[in-house]
Amino acid sequence: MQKYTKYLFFISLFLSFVSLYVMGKGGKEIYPFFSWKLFTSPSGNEKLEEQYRLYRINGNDTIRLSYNATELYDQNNLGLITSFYGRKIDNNEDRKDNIRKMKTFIKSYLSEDNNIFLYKESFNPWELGKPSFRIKKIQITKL
Amino acid sequence: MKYKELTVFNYKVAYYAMRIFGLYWLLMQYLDFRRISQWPKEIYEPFLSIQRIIFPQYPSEILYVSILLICALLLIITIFKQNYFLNFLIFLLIAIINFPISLNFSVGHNNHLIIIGFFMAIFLLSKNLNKENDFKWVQYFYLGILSTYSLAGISKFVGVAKNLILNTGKITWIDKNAAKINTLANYWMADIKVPDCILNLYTYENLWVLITGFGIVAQASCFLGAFNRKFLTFIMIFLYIFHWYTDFFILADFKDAKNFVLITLFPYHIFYPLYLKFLNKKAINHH
Repeated sequence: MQKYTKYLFFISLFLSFVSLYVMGKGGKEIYPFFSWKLFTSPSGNEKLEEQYRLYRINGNDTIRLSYNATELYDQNNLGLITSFYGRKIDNNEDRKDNIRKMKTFIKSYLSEDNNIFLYKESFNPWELGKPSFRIKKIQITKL
Repeated sequence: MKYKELTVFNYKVAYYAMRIFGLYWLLMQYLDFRRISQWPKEIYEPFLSIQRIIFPQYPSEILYVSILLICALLLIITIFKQNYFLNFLIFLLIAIINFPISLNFSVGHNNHLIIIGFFMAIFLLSKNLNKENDFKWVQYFYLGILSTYSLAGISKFVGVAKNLILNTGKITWIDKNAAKINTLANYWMADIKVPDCILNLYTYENLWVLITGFGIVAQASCFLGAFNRKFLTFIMIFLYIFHWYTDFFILADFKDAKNFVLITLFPYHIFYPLYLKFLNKKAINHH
Protein backbone atom coordinates (compact mmCIF):
# COMPACT_ATOMS: atom_id res chain seq x y z
CA MET A 1 0.00 0.00 0.00
CA GLN A 2 2.93 2.35 0.62
CA LYS A 3 3.14 3.06 -3.11
CA TYR A 4 -0.08 5.09 -2.80
CA THR A 5 1.96 7.75 -0.97
CA LYS A 6 2.91 8.89 -4.46
CA TYR A 7 -0.75 9.61 -5.25
CA LEU A 8 -1.22 11.40 -1.93
CA PHE A 9 1.61 13.73 -2.90
CA PHE A 10 0.08 14.47 -6.30
CA ILE A 11 -3.36 14.96 -4.73
CA SER A 12 -1.86 17.39 -2.22
CA LEU A 13 0.01 19.30 -4.93
CA PHE A 14 -3.02 19.34 -7.22
CA LEU A 15 -5.31 20.67 -4.48
CA SER A 16 -2.72 23.36 -3.68
CA PHE A 17 -2.98 24.55 -7.28
CA VAL A 18 -6.78 24.33 -7.18
CA SER A 19 -6.66 26.45 -4.00
CA LEU A 20 -4.43 28.95 -5.77
CA TYR A 21 -6.90 29.18 -8.66
CA VAL A 22 -10.01 29.35 -6.48
CA MET A 23 -8.45 31.93 -4.14
CA GLY A 24 -7.43 33.98 -7.18
CA LYS A 25 -11.13 34.10 -8.05
CA GLY A 26 -11.94 35.34 -4.55
CA GLY A 27 -12.84 31.92 -3.11
CA LYS A 28 -11.41 29.98 -0.19
CA GLU A 29 -8.73 27.30 0.10
CA ILE A 30 -9.48 23.59 -0.30
CA TYR A 31 -8.84 22.84 3.38
CA PRO A 32 -6.48 21.50 4.65
CA PHE A 33 -4.59 22.14 1.44
CA PHE A 34 -3.57 25.67 0.72
CA SER A 35 -1.93 27.58 -2.12
CA TRP A 36 1.01 28.49 0.16
CA LYS A 37 1.03 31.89 -1.46
CA LEU A 38 2.35 33.67 1.62
CA PHE A 39 4.15 37.01 1.79
CA THR A 40 4.63 37.23 -1.99
CA SER A 41 5.53 40.85 -1.25
CA PRO A 42 6.60 42.28 2.11
CA SER A 43 3.84 43.57 4.40
CA GLY A 44 3.44 47.30 3.91
CA ASN A 45 4.53 47.04 0.26
CA GLU A 46 1.95 49.63 -0.85
CA LYS A 47 2.01 53.32 -0.09
CA LEU A 48 -1.45 53.18 1.44
CA GLU A 49 -2.67 50.75 4.08
CA GLU A 50 -6.01 50.79 5.86
CA GLN A 51 -6.95 49.45 9.23
CA TYR A 52 -10.04 49.52 11.48
CA ARG A 53 -9.36 50.64 15.04
CA LEU A 54 -11.23 51.44 18.22
CA TYR A 55 -11.05 54.90 19.81
CA ARG A 56 -12.45 56.33 23.01
CA ILE A 57 -13.76 59.89 23.03
CA ASN A 58 -13.57 61.61 26.43
CA GLY A 59 -14.77 65.21 26.09
CA ASN A 60 -12.29 66.76 23.69
CA ASP A 61 -9.83 63.88 23.79
CA THR A 62 -9.87 61.21 21.10
CA ILE A 63 -7.80 58.36 22.43
CA ARG A 64 -6.56 55.53 20.21
CA LEU A 65 -7.03 52.26 22.06
CA SER A 66 -4.03 50.01 21.69
CA TYR A 67 -4.27 46.26 21.59
CA ASN A 68 -3.27 44.87 24.96
CA ALA A 69 -3.32 41.11 25.25
CA THR A 70 -5.65 39.85 27.98
CA GLU A 71 -6.28 36.44 29.43
CA LEU A 72 -8.89 35.87 26.73
CA TYR A 73 -7.40 37.56 23.69
CA ASP A 74 -3.88 37.78 22.33
CA GLN A 75 -2.81 40.73 20.15
CA ASN A 76 -3.44 38.72 17.01
CA ASN A 77 -7.04 37.92 18.06
CA LEU A 78 -7.72 41.57 18.90
CA GLY A 79 -6.54 42.74 15.48
CA LEU A 80 -8.46 40.05 13.61
CA ILE A 81 -11.76 40.53 15.45
CA THR A 82 -11.67 44.35 15.28
CA SER A 83 -10.94 44.38 11.57
CA PHE A 84 -13.45 41.59 10.83
CA TYR A 85 -16.44 43.38 12.38
CA GLY A 86 -15.02 46.82 11.47
CA ARG A 87 -15.01 45.96 7.78
CA LYS A 88 -18.52 44.45 7.90
CA ILE A 89 -19.92 47.50 9.70
CA ASP A 90 -18.20 49.88 7.28
CA ASN A 91 -19.46 47.92 4.25
CA ASN A 92 -22.99 47.75 5.69
CA GLU A 93 -23.05 43.95 5.74
CA ASP A 94 -25.66 43.04 8.39
CA ARG A 95 -24.64 46.28 10.00
CA LYS A 96 -26.94 46.06 13.03
CA ASP A 97 -25.94 42.51 13.78
CA ASN A 98 -22.24 43.20 13.46
CA ILE A 99 -22.40 46.35 15.60
CA ARG A 100 -24.07 44.22 18.28
CA LYS A 101 -21.33 41.59 18.01
CA MET A 102 -18.60 44.23 18.11
CA LYS A 103 -20.16 45.64 21.28
CA THR A 104 -20.27 42.17 22.84
CA PHE A 105 -16.62 41.76 21.96
CA ILE A 106 -15.69 45.16 23.45
CA LYS A 107 -17.55 44.33 26.65
CA SER A 108 -15.52 41.15 27.07
CA TYR A 109 -12.25 42.96 26.34
CA LEU A 110 -12.44 46.42 27.94
CA SER A 111 -13.48 47.14 31.50
CA GLU A 112 -14.88 50.54 30.45
CA ASP A 113 -16.96 50.06 27.35
CA ASN A 114 -18.67 53.43 26.95
CA ASN A 115 -17.82 56.18 24.43
CA ILE A 116 -16.10 53.74 22.08
CA PHE A 117 -16.00 54.61 18.39
CA LEU A 118 -14.98 52.72 15.29
CA TYR A 119 -12.48 54.49 13.04
CA LYS A 120 -10.90 53.64 9.74
CA GLU A 121 -7.24 54.60 9.63
CA SER A 122 -5.07 55.03 6.57
CA PHE A 123 -1.32 55.46 6.58
CA ASN A 124 1.81 55.03 4.50
CA PRO A 125 3.81 52.10 5.89
CA TRP A 126 6.96 53.33 4.15
CA GLU A 127 7.02 56.19 6.65
CA LEU A 128 6.86 53.91 9.71
CA GLY A 129 9.53 54.74 12.24
CA LYS A 130 10.13 58.17 10.69
CA PRO A 131 9.07 61.51 12.23
CA SER A 132 6.96 62.21 9.11
CA PHE A 133 4.64 59.25 9.87
CA ARG A 134 0.99 60.34 10.04
CA ILE A 135 -2.31 58.50 10.43
CA LYS A 136 -5.43 59.77 8.69
CA LYS A 137 -8.59 58.68 10.42
CA ILE A 138 -12.29 58.70 9.57
CA GLN A 139 -15.00 58.04 12.11
CA ILE A 140 -17.30 55.18 11.03
CA THR A 141 -19.75 54.93 13.92
CA LYS A 142 -20.29 55.03 17.65
CA LEU A 143 -20.32 51.65 19.32
CA MET B 1 24.11 2.76 6.02
CA LYS B 2 23.53 3.76 2.42
CA TYR B 3 21.09 6.53 1.44
CA LYS B 4 18.23 4.13 0.62
CA GLU B 5 18.51 2.28 3.92
CA LEU B 6 18.95 5.31 6.12
CA THR B 7 16.00 7.08 4.49
CA VAL B 8 13.73 4.18 5.46
CA PHE B 9 15.39 3.98 8.88
CA ASN B 10 14.77 7.68 9.51
CA TYR B 11 11.11 7.35 8.60
CA LYS B 12 10.71 4.34 10.87
CA VAL B 13 11.87 6.46 13.80
CA ALA B 14 9.81 9.45 12.61
CA TYR B 15 6.71 7.22 12.53
CA TYR B 16 6.86 6.87 16.32
CA ALA B 17 8.13 10.40 16.92
CA MET B 18 5.13 11.80 15.01
CA ARG B 19 2.74 9.93 17.27
CA ILE B 20 4.38 11.16 20.46
CA PHE B 21 4.52 14.67 19.02
CA GLY B 22 0.84 14.28 18.11
CA LEU B 23 -0.07 13.71 21.76
CA TYR B 24 1.80 16.86 22.75
CA TRP B 25 0.09 18.76 19.92
CA LEU B 26 -3.36 17.67 21.15
CA LEU B 27 -2.53 19.06 24.58
CA MET B 28 -1.47 22.38 23.05
CA GLN B 29 -4.73 22.60 21.10
CA TYR B 30 -6.64 21.95 24.31
CA LEU B 31 -4.90 24.89 26.02
CA ASP B 32 -5.79 27.19 23.09
CA PHE B 33 -9.33 25.84 23.09
CA ARG B 34 -9.71 26.57 26.79
CA ARG B 35 -8.79 30.22 26.25
CA ILE B 36 -10.97 30.77 23.17
CA SER B 37 -14.00 29.06 24.72
CA GLN B 38 -14.09 31.85 27.33
CA TRP B 39 -15.01 34.33 24.60
CA PRO B 40 -18.69 35.38 24.43
CA LYS B 41 -20.63 32.68 22.53
CA GLU B 42 -21.57 35.16 19.79
CA ILE B 43 -17.94 35.91 18.95
CA TYR B 44 -17.60 32.91 16.66
CA GLU B 45 -17.15 33.33 12.92
CA PRO B 46 -16.27 30.01 11.27
CA PHE B 47 -14.20 30.60 8.16
CA LEU B 48 -15.40 27.65 6.06
CA SER B 49 -18.97 26.51 5.44
CA ILE B 50 -18.06 22.88 6.22
CA GLN B 51 -17.00 24.10 9.65
CA ARG B 52 -20.48 25.49 10.28
CA ILE B 53 -21.86 22.01 9.60
CA ILE B 54 -19.45 20.26 11.98
CA PHE B 55 -19.47 22.95 14.66
CA PRO B 56 -22.59 25.17 14.25
CA GLN B 57 -21.52 26.77 17.53
CA TYR B 58 -18.15 26.96 19.18
CA PRO B 59 -17.76 23.38 20.47
CA SER B 60 -18.47 22.64 24.11
CA GLU B 61 -15.68 21.35 26.31
CA ILE B 62 -17.22 17.86 26.44
CA LEU B 63 -17.45 17.57 22.66
CA TYR B 64 -13.98 18.97 21.95
CA VAL B 65 -12.25 16.96 24.66
CA SER B 66 -13.98 13.79 23.42
CA ILE B 67 -12.59 14.37 19.93
CA LEU B 68 -9.14 15.07 21.41
CA LEU B 69 -9.27 11.88 23.47
CA ILE B 70 -10.36 9.73 20.52
CA CYS B 71 -7.50 11.15 18.50
CA ALA B 72 -5.05 10.55 21.36
CA LEU B 73 -6.28 6.98 21.67
CA LEU B 74 -5.77 6.37 17.94
CA LEU B 75 -2.24 7.81 18.13
CA ILE B 76 -1.41 5.45 21.00
CA ILE B 77 -3.05 2.43 19.33
CA THR B 78 -1.09 3.01 16.10
CA ILE B 79 2.15 2.93 18.10
CA PHE B 80 1.43 -0.73 18.87
CA LYS B 81 -0.90 -1.72 16.06
CA GLN B 82 -0.11 -0.03 12.75
CA ASN B 83 -3.14 0.40 10.54
CA TYR B 84 -3.97 2.38 7.37
CA PHE B 85 -7.57 3.10 8.28
CA LEU B 86 -6.66 4.38 11.74
CA ASN B 87 -4.00 6.57 10.11
CA PHE B 88 -6.69 8.04 7.87
CA LEU B 89 -8.91 8.72 10.89
CA ILE B 90 -6.03 10.45 12.68
CA PHE B 91 -5.57 12.74 9.68
CA LEU B 92 -9.29 13.50 9.58
CA LEU B 93 -9.56 14.19 13.31
CA ILE B 94 -6.48 16.44 13.36
CA ALA B 95 -7.98 18.48 10.50
CA ILE B 96 -11.25 18.81 12.46
CA ILE B 97 -9.51 19.60 15.75
CA ASN B 98 -7.79 22.52 14.02
CA PHE B 99 -11.12 24.18 13.06
CA PRO B 100 -11.95 25.93 16.36
CA ILE B 101 -8.29 26.87 16.88
CA SER B 102 -7.12 28.27 13.53
CA LEU B 103 -10.25 28.96 11.48
CA ASN B 104 -12.17 31.45 13.58
CA PHE B 105 -12.49 34.91 11.88
CA SER B 106 -9.74 34.12 9.38
CA VAL B 107 -7.52 31.19 8.65
CA GLY B 108 -4.16 30.66 10.35
CA HIS B 109 -1.82 28.25 8.61
CA ASN B 110 0.50 27.20 11.41
CA ASN B 111 -1.16 23.80 11.83
CA HIS B 112 -1.63 22.99 8.14
CA LEU B 113 1.85 21.49 7.88
CA ILE B 114 1.09 19.04 10.67
CA ILE B 115 -2.21 18.02 9.05
CA ILE B 116 -0.49 17.52 5.69
CA GLY B 117 2.28 15.54 7.40
CA PHE B 118 -0.24 13.06 8.82
CA PHE B 119 -1.99 12.98 5.43
CA MET B 120 1.25 12.05 3.67
CA ALA B 121 1.92 9.34 6.30
CA ILE B 122 -1.40 7.48 5.86
CA PHE B 123 0.07 4.66 3.76
CA LEU B 124 3.46 4.49 5.45
CA LEU B 125 3.51 1.88 8.19
CA SER B 126 7.01 1.39 9.52
CA LYS B 127 6.52 -2.41 9.83
CA ASN B 128 5.83 -2.70 6.07
CA LEU B 129 8.83 -0.76 4.83
CA ASN B 130 11.16 -3.69 4.15
CA LYS B 131 11.77 -3.70 0.41
CA GLU B 132 14.77 -2.07 -1.21
CA ASN B 133 12.66 0.44 -3.10
CA ASP B 134 10.60 1.58 -0.14
CA PHE B 135 12.82 4.62 0.31
CA LYS B 136 10.96 6.13 -2.67
CA TRP B 137 7.71 6.41 -0.74
CA VAL B 138 9.52 8.11 2.11
CA GLN B 139 10.82 10.59 -0.47
CA TYR B 140 7.21 11.33 -1.46
CA PHE B 141 6.40 11.86 2.21
CA TYR B 142 9.22 14.41 2.42
CA LEU B 143 8.07 15.99 -0.85
CA GLY B 144 4.55 16.46 0.50
CA ILE B 145 5.87 18.37 3.50
CA LEU B 146 8.61 20.32 1.71
CA SER B 147 6.60 21.31 -1.38
CA THR B 148 4.50 23.62 0.83
CA TYR B 149 7.65 25.64 1.54
CA SER B 150 8.79 25.47 -2.08
CA LEU B 151 5.43 26.82 -3.27
CA ALA B 152 5.77 29.70 -0.78
CA GLY B 153 9.30 30.40 -2.03
CA ILE B 154 8.37 30.20 -5.70
CA SER B 155 5.39 32.51 -5.18
CA LYS B 156 7.82 35.13 -3.83
CA PHE B 157 9.82 34.91 -7.09
CA VAL B 158 6.56 35.31 -9.03
CA GLY B 159 5.61 38.27 -6.82
CA VAL B 160 8.92 40.04 -7.53
CA ALA B 161 8.70 39.35 -11.28
CA LYS B 162 5.09 40.47 -11.51
CA ASN B 163 5.74 43.77 -9.73
CA LEU B 164 8.83 44.50 -11.81
CA ILE B 165 7.21 43.67 -15.15
CA LEU B 166 3.98 45.53 -14.40
CA ASN B 167 5.99 48.35 -12.83
CA THR B 168 3.56 48.62 -9.92
CA GLY B 169 5.85 50.73 -7.75
CA LYS B 170 5.24 48.41 -4.80
CA ILE B 171 8.11 47.28 -2.60
CA THR B 172 9.37 43.83 -3.61
CA TRP B 173 11.59 41.41 -1.73
CA ILE B 174 14.71 42.49 -3.63
CA ASP B 175 14.32 46.15 -2.66
CA LYS B 176 16.56 47.65 -0.03
CA ASN B 177 14.81 47.67 3.38
CA ALA B 178 12.12 45.22 2.20
CA ALA B 179 12.67 43.00 5.25
CA LYS B 180 12.73 46.05 7.52
CA ILE B 181 9.42 47.44 6.22
CA ASN B 182 7.91 43.98 6.56
CA THR B 183 8.96 43.97 10.23
CA LEU B 184 7.79 47.54 10.90
CA ALA B 185 4.39 47.00 9.23
CA ASN B 186 3.70 43.78 11.15
CA TYR B 187 4.74 45.25 14.50
CA TRP B 188 2.64 48.34 13.79
CA MET B 189 -0.46 46.30 12.99
CA ALA B 190 -0.03 44.38 16.25
CA ASP B 191 0.60 47.55 18.28
CA ILE B 192 3.95 46.38 19.57
CA LYS B 193 7.06 48.55 19.73
CA VAL B 194 9.86 47.17 17.56
CA PRO B 195 12.74 46.13 19.87
CA ASP B 196 15.91 48.21 19.40
CA CYS B 197 18.04 45.14 18.78
CA ILE B 198 15.94 44.33 15.72
CA LEU B 199 16.21 47.92 14.43
CA ASN B 200 19.98 47.83 14.95
CA LEU B 201 20.28 44.64 12.92
CA TYR B 202 18.40 46.25 10.04
CA THR B 203 20.99 49.03 9.73
CA TYR B 204 23.08 46.59 7.63
CA GLU B 205 20.93 47.33 4.56
CA ASN B 206 22.98 45.56 1.89
CA LEU B 207 23.49 42.49 4.02
CA TRP B 208 19.70 42.17 4.37
CA VAL B 209 19.24 42.18 0.60
CA LEU B 210 21.61 39.18 0.51
CA ILE B 211 19.96 37.45 3.45
CA THR B 212 16.50 37.93 1.94
CA GLY B 213 17.66 36.63 -1.44
CA PHE B 214 19.29 33.62 0.20
CA GLY B 215 16.17 32.94 2.25
CA ILE B 216 13.88 32.96 -0.77
CA VAL B 217 16.18 30.71 -2.83
CA ALA B 218 16.53 28.28 0.10
CA GLN B 219 12.77 28.27 0.68
CA ALA B 220 12.03 27.62 -3.01
CA SER B 221 14.58 24.78 -3.17
CA CYS B 222 13.24 22.97 -0.08
CA PHE B 223 11.71 20.15 -2.17
CA LEU B 224 15.21 19.07 -3.28
CA GLY B 225 15.79 17.92 0.29
CA ALA B 226 13.59 14.93 -0.51
CA PHE B 227 16.39 13.54 -2.72
CA ASN B 228 19.53 14.18 -0.72
CA ARG B 229 20.02 13.47 2.97
CA LYS B 230 22.69 16.12 3.65
CA PHE B 231 20.61 18.78 1.92
CA LEU B 232 17.55 17.62 3.87
CA THR B 233 19.40 18.18 7.15
CA PHE B 234 20.46 21.62 5.92
CA ILE B 235 16.84 22.43 4.98
CA MET B 236 15.63 21.22 8.38
CA ILE B 237 18.01 23.63 10.14
CA PHE B 238 17.19 26.42 7.69
CA LEU B 239 13.42 26.00 8.23
CA TYR B 240 13.83 26.03 11.99
CA ILE B 241 15.82 29.28 11.88
CA PHE B 242 13.40 30.71 9.31
CA HIS B 243 10.41 29.99 11.56
CA TRP B 244 12.27 31.48 14.49
CA TYR B 245 12.91 34.63 12.40
CA THR B 246 9.27 35.00 11.32
CA ASP B 247 8.21 34.58 14.94
CA PHE B 248 10.44 37.29 16.40
CA PHE B 249 10.92 39.61 13.45
CA ILE B 250 7.46 39.64 11.90
CA LEU B 251 5.30 38.20 14.70
CA ALA B 252 4.15 35.36 12.43
CA ASP B 253 4.31 32.58 14.97
CA PHE B 254 4.13 29.19 13.25
CA LYS B 255 4.03 27.58 16.68
CA ASP B 256 4.42 23.82 16.38
CA ALA B 257 5.14 23.75 12.64
CA LYS B 258 8.84 24.24 13.41
CA ASN B 259 8.84 21.37 15.89
CA PHE B 260 7.05 19.17 13.38
CA VAL B 261 9.77 19.96 10.84
CA LEU B 262 12.38 18.74 13.34
CA ILE B 263 10.42 15.59 14.21
CA THR B 264 9.81 14.49 10.62
CA LEU B 265 13.06 15.52 8.94
CA PHE B 266 15.56 14.76 11.69
CA PRO B 267 18.62 12.67 10.67
CA TYR B 268 17.96 9.96 13.25
CA HIS B 269 20.53 7.72 11.50
CA ILE B 270 23.39 9.63 13.14
CA PHE B 271 22.48 7.73 16.31
CA TYR B 272 22.46 4.36 14.55
CA PRO B 273 26.07 3.44 15.51
CA LEU B 274 25.20 4.14 19.15
CA TYR B 275 22.14 1.94 18.84
CA LEU B 276 24.30 -0.89 17.43
CA LYS B 277 26.75 -0.52 20.31
CA PHE B 278 23.88 -0.71 22.74
CA LEU B 279 22.62 -3.92 21.08
CA ASN B 280 26.11 -5.42 21.20
CA LYS B 281 26.50 -4.69 24.88
CA LYS B 282 23.16 -6.26 25.58
CA ALA B 283 24.18 -9.36 23.64
CA ILE B 284 27.48 -9.62 25.52
CA ASN B 285 25.80 -9.21 28.89
CA HIS B 286 23.36 -11.89 27.92
CA HIS B 287 26.14 -14.40 27.33
